[in-house]
Amino acid sequence: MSAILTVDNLRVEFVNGERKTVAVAGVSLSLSQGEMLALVGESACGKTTLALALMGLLATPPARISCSGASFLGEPLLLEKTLSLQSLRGKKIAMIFQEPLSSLNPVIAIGEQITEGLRQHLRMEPKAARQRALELLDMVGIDRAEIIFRSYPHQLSGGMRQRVMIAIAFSCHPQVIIADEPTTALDVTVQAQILSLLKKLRTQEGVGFLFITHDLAVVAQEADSAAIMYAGKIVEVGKSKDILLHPLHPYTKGLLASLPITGKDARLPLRLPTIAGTVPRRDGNQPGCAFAPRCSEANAFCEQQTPTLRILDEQHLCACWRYE
Amino acid sequence: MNSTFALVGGMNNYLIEVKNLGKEFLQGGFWEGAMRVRALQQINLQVEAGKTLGLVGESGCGKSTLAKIIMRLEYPTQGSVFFEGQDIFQLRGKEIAKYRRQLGMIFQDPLSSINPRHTVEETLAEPFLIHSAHCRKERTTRVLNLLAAVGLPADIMDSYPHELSGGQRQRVGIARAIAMQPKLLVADEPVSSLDVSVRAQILNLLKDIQEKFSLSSLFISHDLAVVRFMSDTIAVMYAGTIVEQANSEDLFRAPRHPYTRLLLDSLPQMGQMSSCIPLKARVAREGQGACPFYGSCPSVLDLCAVAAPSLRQVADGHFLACHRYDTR
Ligand SMILES: Nc1ncnc2c1ncn2[C@@H]1O[C@H](COP(=O)(O)OP(=O)(O)OP(=O)(O)O)[C@@H](O)[C@H]1O
Ligand SMILES: Nc1ncnc2c1ncn2[C@@H]1O[C@H](COP(=O)(O)OP(=O)(O)OP(=O)(O)O)[C@@H](O)[C@H]1O
Ligand code: SF4
Ligand SMILES: [Mg+2]
Ligand SMILES: [Mg+2]
Repeated sequence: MSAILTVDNLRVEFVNGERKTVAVAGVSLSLSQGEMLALVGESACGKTTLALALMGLLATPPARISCSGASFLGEPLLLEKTLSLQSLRGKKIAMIFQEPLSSLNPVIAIGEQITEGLRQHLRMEPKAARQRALELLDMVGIDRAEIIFRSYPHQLSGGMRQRVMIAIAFSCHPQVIIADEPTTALDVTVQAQILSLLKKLRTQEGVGFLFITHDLAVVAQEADSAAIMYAGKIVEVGKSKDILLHPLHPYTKGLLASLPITGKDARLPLRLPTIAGTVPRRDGNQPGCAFAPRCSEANAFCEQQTPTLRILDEQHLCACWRYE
Repeated sequence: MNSTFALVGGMNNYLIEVKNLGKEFLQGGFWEGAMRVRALQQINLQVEAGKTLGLVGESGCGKSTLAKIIMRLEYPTQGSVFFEGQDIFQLRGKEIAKYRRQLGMIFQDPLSSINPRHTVEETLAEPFLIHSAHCRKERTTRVLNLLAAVGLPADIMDSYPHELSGGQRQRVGIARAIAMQPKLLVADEPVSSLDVSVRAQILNLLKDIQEKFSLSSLFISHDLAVVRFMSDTIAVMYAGTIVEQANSEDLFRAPRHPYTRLLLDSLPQMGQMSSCIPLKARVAREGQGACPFYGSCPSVLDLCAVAAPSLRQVADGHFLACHRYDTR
C-alpha cells in the first residue's frame, strides 16, 4: 500500500512571552491508504497539537512550526504555511475534534452545520445535501435524524455531539481522517457501531485514519499500527499487535501495566497501578531521554543523551538506550 | 456521621435521594415541529453517605440530564431530589448557595465549565476566595497542592484554558471540584480524556478522598472498568429509565437485564473482536406502551410489546425492569 500522508521531523513550539513549550519535538510518521494508525500517549504529550498542525489549524503565533518535509498524495505539504492547507481541510483531510462542544457552532442548527461542507465542497443542491445529511446522521446511529437535524448543539447529549462531528468529518469523502479521541463520549455498544463504520470506510473507500486514543483495547482491535508518544516524541512505533503483545519501551510497558482489569471474574485491586511521577514541562533544552526521571530501567547514560528511534525488530522501532 | 443525618433527614440515611424524577425537553428548533423528548422517566435512586453510585448507559439515555438536575442546573418536570432529607428545589436564596458549596461538580465538557479568561490559578483559587477568607499566600499553597494531587506541573498556574491539553483541562476541572472538600461529588465522565496511567492516578486519588472524608459520589462513565473500580452500587440506564441496579460486583458477575448483558459483552477486550449489535429504539416516545428496549432486545416476550416493565427487586439489593424475570 502506498503512503498517502507523510511527515518528516515536525516540530511545534508555543511561545507566550518568556514561556516556551515544545509540544511536538520532531515527529515523523507515514500513513498508508486504508490504514489505521493509532497514536497513543500521556496526557499533554502533544497529540492534539500534532493533529492540528497537520490540519493547518494552529495559530502562528503563538505556535511556531517547522518541518523537514511532508506530503499528501505525493504532493508536498507546507505545514509551516498554515494558509496553504485551507484547500484540503474538510475536503481531502478531515478532523474529528477532541471536544465536540467547542468545535460545533452553538447558534447554528446541526443540519446546517453538516450541509455546509456538502454544499461548499461537493456543490450539492440544498435538497440533496439535506438528504445526505440525514443519511449521515442515521449512519452514526442517531435516532430521529429529522428532529436532530433541526436541533442545536446544546440540545444533544455529549455522545450525540461527538457523533455529529464524526458525520461532518465523513461528509465530503476525505482520504484522510484525523480522529482525536472520537469515541470517548460513547458507550461500548455505540462505540462498536462507530468502529465498524470506520472499518468500512477503510476497506471500501481506502480512507486512512490517524486515530488518537487512550483506549488500548480499541487499538488492539482496530489499529493496523500504533505510535506511542511521550513528551512530544514518538518513542515506539510498529504493528499494533507487536506493540501491545511485546512492548519494548519502558513507558509503553508502564502504560500497559496501568490497564484496569476488565474480565468478568477478575478480582478488583484496591489501588490501580500507575507510572510514578509526572512529566515536567519541556522547553527543549533538557538533554537525555524525557522518560528517564520516571524510568525504572534508566541508567546514568539515559539522562545525558537523547535516544533516537531505531529498528529493533522487523517494522518495530523504539527509542530507548536499553536496547543499544 | 449517620446519626447527624438521621436528625436532618428524618427516617433514612441517604445523602441524596432522587424520587420519581421525570424530565421532558422540547427538541428540534424553536418554531417548526418541535418534539417532546422524555429524557428521564420515573427515576428513583439513593446515594448513601460515604458511598459511590455508578451510572452507566447508552449515549443519550439521560445521564448528564440527571446529573444536572442534581446540581440544580436543570429543573425536573416531575418528582424531586432530596439532599439530607430536604427538597433541593424548595431551597431559597442562601440555602441554594449552601447546597452548592457541599457539591463538587465535574462536567462532561471541561471547557464549558471553566472561565476561558481565567488562568488556572484564578480558576482554582476562586472557591477559596468565595467560601472562606484566606490570605493570598495560603491560597497559592492550596492551589499548588491541588495541582500536584491531579498530577499537573506547578508551572501551568499562569496558563489559560485554551493553552492546555484536553486531559490537562479535565484535571483542572477535577481539582476545582475537590477543592472545598464537598460532601457529594457529581462526576460526569471525569476521566474520559485521560491516558490509562494518569487516569489510574486520578481514580486512586478520588478513592483516597472517598475513604478519608467519607465523600459520596454519583459517578458517570462509559468506561465499565472505571465504574466498577469506583462504585459500590451501579445503576444501568436505557432510554431515560433505570433498567437494572445492583451491587457493583453482583452486576458484573451476574448481569440480568438483556441491555446490561449486551453492554458487558460489547466491552472491547485485548485481542478479540467485540460483538456489534445495532440498537434501534433509543428514545422513549410518548404514548408508547412497550419496554424501551423492545426494538433491540434479543429475548423478547409478547408482553414486552404492549407493557413497559417496572423496576422490581429480584434479589437482595438487585433491582431489575424486565418481563423475563416477572414470571419467576
Ligand atoms: N437542553 C436540552 N434541550 C433538548 N433536549 C435535550 C437537552 N439536553 C438534553 N436533551 C436530550 O435529552 C436526552 C438525554 O441527554 P443527556 O445529555 O442526559 O444524555 P447522556 O446520557 O448524558 O448521554 P451521553 O453519554 O452521550 O453524554 C438526549 O436525547 C438529548 O438530546
Ligand atoms: N495554545 C497553546 N499555548 C501554549 N501551550 C499550549 C497550547 N496548546 C497546547 N499547549 C501545550 O502543549 C502541550 C501539548 O498539548 P496537546 O493538546 O497537544 O496534548 P495532548 O497530547 O493532546 O494531550 P491530551 O491527551 O491531554 O489531550 C501541553 O503541555 C499544552 O499545555
Ligand atoms: S532511554 Fe533509558 S530512561 Fe529512557 S526509557 Fe530507555 S531505559 Fe528508560
Ligand atoms: Mg488532546
Ligand atoms: Mg452526558
